[in-house]
Amino acid sequence: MKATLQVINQMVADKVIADYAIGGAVGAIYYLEPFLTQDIDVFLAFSTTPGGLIADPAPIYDYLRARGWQSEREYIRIEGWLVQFLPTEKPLYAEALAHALGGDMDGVPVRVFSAEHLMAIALDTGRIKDHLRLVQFLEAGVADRVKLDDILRRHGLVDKWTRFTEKYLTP
Amino acid sequence: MSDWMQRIIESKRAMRREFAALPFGEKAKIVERLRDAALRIAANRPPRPANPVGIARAGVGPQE
Repeated sequence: MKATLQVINQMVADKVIADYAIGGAVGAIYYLEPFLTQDIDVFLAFSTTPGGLIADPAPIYDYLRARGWQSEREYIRIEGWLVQFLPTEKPLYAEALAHALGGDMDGVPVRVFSAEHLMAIALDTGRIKDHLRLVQFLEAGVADRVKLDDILRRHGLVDKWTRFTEKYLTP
Repeated sequence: MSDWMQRIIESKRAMRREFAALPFGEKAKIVERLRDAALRIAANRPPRPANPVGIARAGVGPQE
């Protein structure tokens, strides 16, 4: 994974992407105990045009394919890892990208969504595995509840949160 | 819940906290080992039977 992140960081250095942050399972693993996952979700604001952001991943895939990395379905395999580049179309994701935290993996810089944004996204996505991940976050106690509540309120997720707590956290 | 069960649950929580506290690089190496093991298991898994529970009601379970 370290080598994969080095390739992604090189994409930033080569101005193929402006900024990125890791979300999904690998983002969660930054804060939680490791668990099985097959891919890395890389969120980014796709290439810009004078009219604003457009969701055009073509330059990304062209760049990577030119360096020998192969597409597999909606992924591209980089240094052994299936990587999916995802747009930050929804305001929640755009905010998560803007507030991503800088970390490192054995000396390689990496940007990761905050725990609170990962939780809000998991709640918004709402699959069973997302709810289980939310429980993991709560048990780990890694999130700032004031920040989380603020995100949930601003992105219209309070009702979902109430239903989640009734279903999973009420004895 | 018995004290015994409570101690087991607490022990598991403590172990998860220890894993969570590992550096990201260490956690990534564990994830890679998990992924490789899952791929090996998947590659060696025998084919699933076409109808594992012998039920063939319309719209229920695997269909021939």
